[in-house]
Amino acid sequence: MSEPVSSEPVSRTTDTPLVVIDRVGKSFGRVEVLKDVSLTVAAGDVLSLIGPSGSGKTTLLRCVNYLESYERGLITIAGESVGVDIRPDGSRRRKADREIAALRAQVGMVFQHYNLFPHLDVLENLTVAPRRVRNEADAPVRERAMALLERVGLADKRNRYPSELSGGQQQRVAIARALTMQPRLLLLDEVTSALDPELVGEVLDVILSLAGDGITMMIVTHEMAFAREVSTSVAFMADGVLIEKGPPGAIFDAPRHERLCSFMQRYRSGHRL
Amino acid sequence: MTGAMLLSTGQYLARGAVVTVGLSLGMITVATCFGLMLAVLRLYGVGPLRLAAAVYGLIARGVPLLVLLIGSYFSLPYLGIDLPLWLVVVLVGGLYFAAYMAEVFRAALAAVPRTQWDAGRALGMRRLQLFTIVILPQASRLSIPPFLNVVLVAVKNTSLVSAIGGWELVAAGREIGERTMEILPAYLAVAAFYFVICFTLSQIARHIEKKMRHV
Amino acid sequence: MDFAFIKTNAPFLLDGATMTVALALGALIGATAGGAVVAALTMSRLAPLRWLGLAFVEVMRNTPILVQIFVLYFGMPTLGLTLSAFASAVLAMSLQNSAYVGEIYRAGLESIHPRQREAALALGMMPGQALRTILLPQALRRVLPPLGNQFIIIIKDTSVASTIAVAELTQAGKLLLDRSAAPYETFTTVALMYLGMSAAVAGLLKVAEFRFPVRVSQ
Repeated sequence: MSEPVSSEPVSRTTDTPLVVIDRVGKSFGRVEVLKDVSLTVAAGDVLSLIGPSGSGKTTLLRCVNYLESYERGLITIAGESVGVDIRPDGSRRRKADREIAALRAQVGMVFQHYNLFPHLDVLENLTVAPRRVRNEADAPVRERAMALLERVGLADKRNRYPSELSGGQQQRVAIARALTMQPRLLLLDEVTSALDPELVGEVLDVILSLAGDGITMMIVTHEMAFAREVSTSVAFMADGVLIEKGPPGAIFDAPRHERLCSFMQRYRSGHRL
Repeated sequence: MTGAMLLSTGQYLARGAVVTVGLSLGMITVATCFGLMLAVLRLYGVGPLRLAAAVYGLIARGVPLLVLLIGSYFSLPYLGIDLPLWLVVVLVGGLYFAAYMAEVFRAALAAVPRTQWDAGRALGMRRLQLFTIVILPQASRLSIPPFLNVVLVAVKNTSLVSAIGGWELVAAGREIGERTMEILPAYLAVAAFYFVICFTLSQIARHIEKKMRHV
Repeated sequence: MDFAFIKTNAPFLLDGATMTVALALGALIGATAGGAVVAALTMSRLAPLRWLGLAFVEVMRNTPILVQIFVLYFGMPTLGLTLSAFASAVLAMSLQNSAYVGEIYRAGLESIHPRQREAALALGMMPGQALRTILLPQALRRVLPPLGNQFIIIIKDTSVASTIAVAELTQAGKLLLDRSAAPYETFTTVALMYLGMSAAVAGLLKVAEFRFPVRVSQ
């Protein structure tokens, strides 16, 4: 790749993981949607979260950049706690909006429904955050944005509005938008679920090439073949619990836990998950 | 003010409110009939009629009701037409709000799915039958909340009648204010009467709207 | 019909029309600002502020503008607060239309999908920044049409100021009526002048909608 996407030097063998999820719990009213989930993601890792609908994988992903709050446990990114400070006496305090925003600026997110800004054209969608959030100068941001558009194959659409693009094109713009902030971690939340089947491939190809560049990613997906190909590790969740985590080969070919086995069986027999 | 005075004041205002409600009902009746006609013309009429209905709507919605009221009230005698004030108000107000009602009915009629026409035709219904049995009942349900909103505006606009010398709620309030020299309380009481009538209407509209959203 | 009479009195009517425009612009400016306050109240996270905003909206929407003008112009002096007829009319119309405009703003903001705010926050924007750069620009385009319609209603409502003798267009028409015996011609002219103003606003609105199209994705 011609453009460095992460400002940090990428290393696949750091000792301290980039993301540490430590016994995280969350409830919506009486329903416990996350139960004591612990996970780590090292820099350069690509972690896929799989599991049935309602298993809590999307909620977990949204906790990582604090779009969703959590009540128990702690998530840290590069040693910095996400969303809350834990005081010496163990009590929790929500961080200031400014601190939360600063953390989110370092974590890119791509959504199921793209969430592009419809009133801005493609290039402005990419440049709005670096300019407004980081007060970066116009020219270098534009240059970086154009390089990323080139990379997702949409440089010629830079002056189009999102409504003029196909779903697959919009999602590729959304990926480029997240990357323009040069995040140290990229979160992808079911990024192909809203797409027509024939448009899924172009988006997955972009993500595969990002993985090849060593960008750290957490991916919630229902595309099993893709998860297997792109991931360095796969985590299976059900009912808010992390059931099994391992390298893709182990998870897909030698599942140990009974719930994972039946999940895989249904997947192989062609059920839409 | 003594209790007895307060009571008689209240009764006097209530009589004004009755006139206000009566004028409103008259206006709404005219507006509904004529408005439905305009809506049907705009949706299903032949070229020139359709255009005429559209132009009528633009004119009626672009001119203040007060101007129409003053204009007709003072012009009609010159044209040799002598009508009592209340009838002028009911007719002019009715024709004015018909333009708004037409928009309400037009939107509601257009909101009935085309497939309903197909279904009716497939059953061998004639056009008029189909319209009255199938389309209109569905459209009238849809039009209830916006209809009530026009009614609400109409009730508030009956206050303009006091400006051309008619007697209704505002005029009653003015008389009380002049008689007792309690001008502010008098007009606040008038406002309270309007509020009770209009708030009730808007709550009903909101309630029906909410109920329809669940269906 | 006697339009020569109108011709000689045209300057008088035009003066009235100028006053009508002044009233309408005053109320428009007042309502645009007041509407923002009302929207901030009704969308507030604090329940008492929300109730205050909603109560204001209900009172303003459910009482006639004529009565509101009378309360200000005839009622307030009894409390020692005397306002000119023009000021009373502009203030009353500003207050009433703040309620309508506030609800237009609120509907505009609420029509923006929460996912837009989420996407802005995920990029590291502060909540206020997300509101300014992402939500408001989208909402503004959506409120333009209802705002324009409200302005047409404001123009028509200015005629009510004639009841407290503000020298606007309707009042000018009434005065001409007293001087002459041409009510039909006078009021046709007055009506056409109002129609012209409404049509001008409607036309401007169409241009604005074309220049600032509402774009939606997904």
